[in-house]
Amino acid sequence: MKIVRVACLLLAFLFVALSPDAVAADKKKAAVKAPPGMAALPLELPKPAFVGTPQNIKGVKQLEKPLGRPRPPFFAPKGVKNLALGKKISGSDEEPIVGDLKMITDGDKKAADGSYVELGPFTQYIQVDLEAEKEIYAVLFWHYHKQARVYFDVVVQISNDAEFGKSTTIYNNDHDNSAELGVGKDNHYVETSEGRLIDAKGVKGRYVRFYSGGNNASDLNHYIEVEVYGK
Amino acid sequence: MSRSLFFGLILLITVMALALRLPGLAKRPMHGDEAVNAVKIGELIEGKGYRYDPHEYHGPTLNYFSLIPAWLGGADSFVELSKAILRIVPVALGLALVLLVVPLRDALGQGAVLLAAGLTALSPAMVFYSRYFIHELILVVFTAVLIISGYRCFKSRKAGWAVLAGVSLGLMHATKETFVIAVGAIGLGVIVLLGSRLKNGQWLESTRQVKWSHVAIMIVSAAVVSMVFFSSFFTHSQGIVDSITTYTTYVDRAETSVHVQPWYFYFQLLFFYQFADGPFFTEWIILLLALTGVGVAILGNVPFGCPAFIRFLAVFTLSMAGVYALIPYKTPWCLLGFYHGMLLLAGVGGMWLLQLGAKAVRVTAIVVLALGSLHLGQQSYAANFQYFSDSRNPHVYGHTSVDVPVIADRIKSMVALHEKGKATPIQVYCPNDDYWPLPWYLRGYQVEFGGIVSEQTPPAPVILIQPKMEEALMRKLYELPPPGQRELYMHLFYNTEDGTVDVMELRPSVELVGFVSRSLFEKQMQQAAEEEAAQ
Repeated sequence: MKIVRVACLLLAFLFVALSPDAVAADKKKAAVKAPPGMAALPLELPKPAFVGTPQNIKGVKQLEKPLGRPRPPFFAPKGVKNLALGKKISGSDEEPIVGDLKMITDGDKKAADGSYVELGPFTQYIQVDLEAEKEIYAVLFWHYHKQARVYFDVVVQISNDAEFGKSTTIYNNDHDNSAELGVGKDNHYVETSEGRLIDAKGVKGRYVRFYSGGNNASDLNHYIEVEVYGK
Repeated sequence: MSRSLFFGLILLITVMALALRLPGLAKRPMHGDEAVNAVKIGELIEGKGYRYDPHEYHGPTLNYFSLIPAWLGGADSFVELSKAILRIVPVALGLALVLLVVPLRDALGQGAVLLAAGLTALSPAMVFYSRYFIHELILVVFTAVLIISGYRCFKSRKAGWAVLAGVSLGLMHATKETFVIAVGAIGLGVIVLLGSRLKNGQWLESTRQVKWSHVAIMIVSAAVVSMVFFSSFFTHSQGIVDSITTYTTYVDRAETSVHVQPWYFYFQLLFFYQFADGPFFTEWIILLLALTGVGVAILGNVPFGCPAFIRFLAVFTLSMAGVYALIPYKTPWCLLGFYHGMLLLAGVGGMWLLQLGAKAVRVTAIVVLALGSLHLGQQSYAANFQYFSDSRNPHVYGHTSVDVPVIADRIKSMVALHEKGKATPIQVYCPNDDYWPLPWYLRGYQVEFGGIVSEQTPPAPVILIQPKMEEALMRKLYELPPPGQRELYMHLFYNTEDGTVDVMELRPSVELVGFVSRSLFEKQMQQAAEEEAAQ
């Protein structure tokens, strides 16, 4: 058996030694290209105001970890654009503590003072009027991204009724129903310069309403910008 | 040569054959044909039975033979099958082909048998197809058994050999429709042999040696075995009829298929193949020795073995090669039938060279044989362990890309995050159902396969298509579903690190594009973020 072993080893050695190296081709990569009829959501993000993973937010249940990398370009039907830009905005606090409600749809997404609106404490909402019924594919909004914060009871609804008698809720992280809009199952998240992107799945509606109920730093509510992507 | 030395060397060749055939059986991605066969076997072991299809999939032997390793491996369902369980079948057959030379000791001579066995063990083509879960090797093995048992029946006049010959013939029929070529070549070999004995009525003497009762036994055995298999063990009598009518299908296909190739296709694969910047593949030593073997057969003056058998072998091999070369429909594995004959003739040719009188010629022959064998082994290693799924390998034909297991893993990792887990719907749409072997890789998952983008089902969270179907997919995602059910999608093969998309292929030049719902993609990103945070 020894001779068999030696012969096998010798053969194996010779095969390996004499064989040319198989050079595998590098994996081909391509730039993101939307399929025909679709396009990546045309999002324009502000510069980050803080860098790195925030460590000091404790005691918030169901909190998503920040992704730590840019959000990928999701696809929606071609022709989808930000319908909220420059549109009329109203809210539960028509006289904000800081800023003016119309700043929320003015296209300024910077984190700096002068770019955000501060609303009163506890549950407050703002409402965008798109002026006509639209197919809404995504909603993107920034409460505040100068520092890492978690806003509570974030609820986003779409309706054709300005009073929201009948509406579709597309996001709800009010886990204890403190806003009395129903118990939500969505996650808490940390505010970043990427904003919060909600998939509206083509829901039709004219009005989009955003609720919040304070944040981990104070009971006050803030908005920098909201965008509604649809057609 | 002593008996113990002979069998010691056979043992060494067996070890060598196994060393080249067994390792890394699961390494090469499943070919589409292998996957189709696997699905059929999955149906069989799951109790759905077997029904011979005269239009596709060849005969039932592969299915039934595969039940043995499935049973030994404890696989009770399609999901539990593995590449190793399936590919152990051709490994066993490939080894059998090496060892089936041994019963030809008196026909070829001991030296030629050892050389033929060694060359068969080392041949890159033989090793490659001994790790390939298709029908071809079964056909080649039972052709060899038919020839051996026929020869031994003729010599010994024992009925047992006639039974074995009949069983082999039946199994050949129950394996692949091309068995008629091998049977025709065997018949031609016998006729040529008789023709060479026309003088003084020697042919009559030869035919008198044949016991016609043995011929009857062989035919009955073949018919019984064939009927048992084609009738799915007496549960589907139509299979017997279909096993005959199938030939109209295959005659048509031989002329109209995409597999139409020039006459020299097989010889190019075996003896002079180089693609792009790949290595030059050639089994030149086999060609050289086999041609010498043919020369020996023609001369007839052989100092070893049975000259008549060697002549028969040459006629059989040449006629097989000729017919396969002339048939326009060609797939690489079909070369095995005549190549096995070439390997046996190479043993004869090699032995003839080693027995030449002049010492210098003998030494040269030894050196050439040694270098040729070493080169064969090196090429076997390259073809089976380096270029195993690379187009630069002559035997890699329409083969599955190494991307496919990656695609499957990506899909599996995505649906693992979905609340439905393995029950998460997955949709795979490719024109003309050109998605094989994905049914193998995604076994156990809820996959809707289709040749067109279905408008009947809602979009699944994971969708795989060929690029030409993107417009139809857009309609499926954003026009057909009612408002509120039109989710955002993303490239499945998106790299979050650099914002690029991996180009994935089913086979060379057959691209697959994948899409994943935003919710699932974000879950995956969230999981990655949590894992990073935990580190």
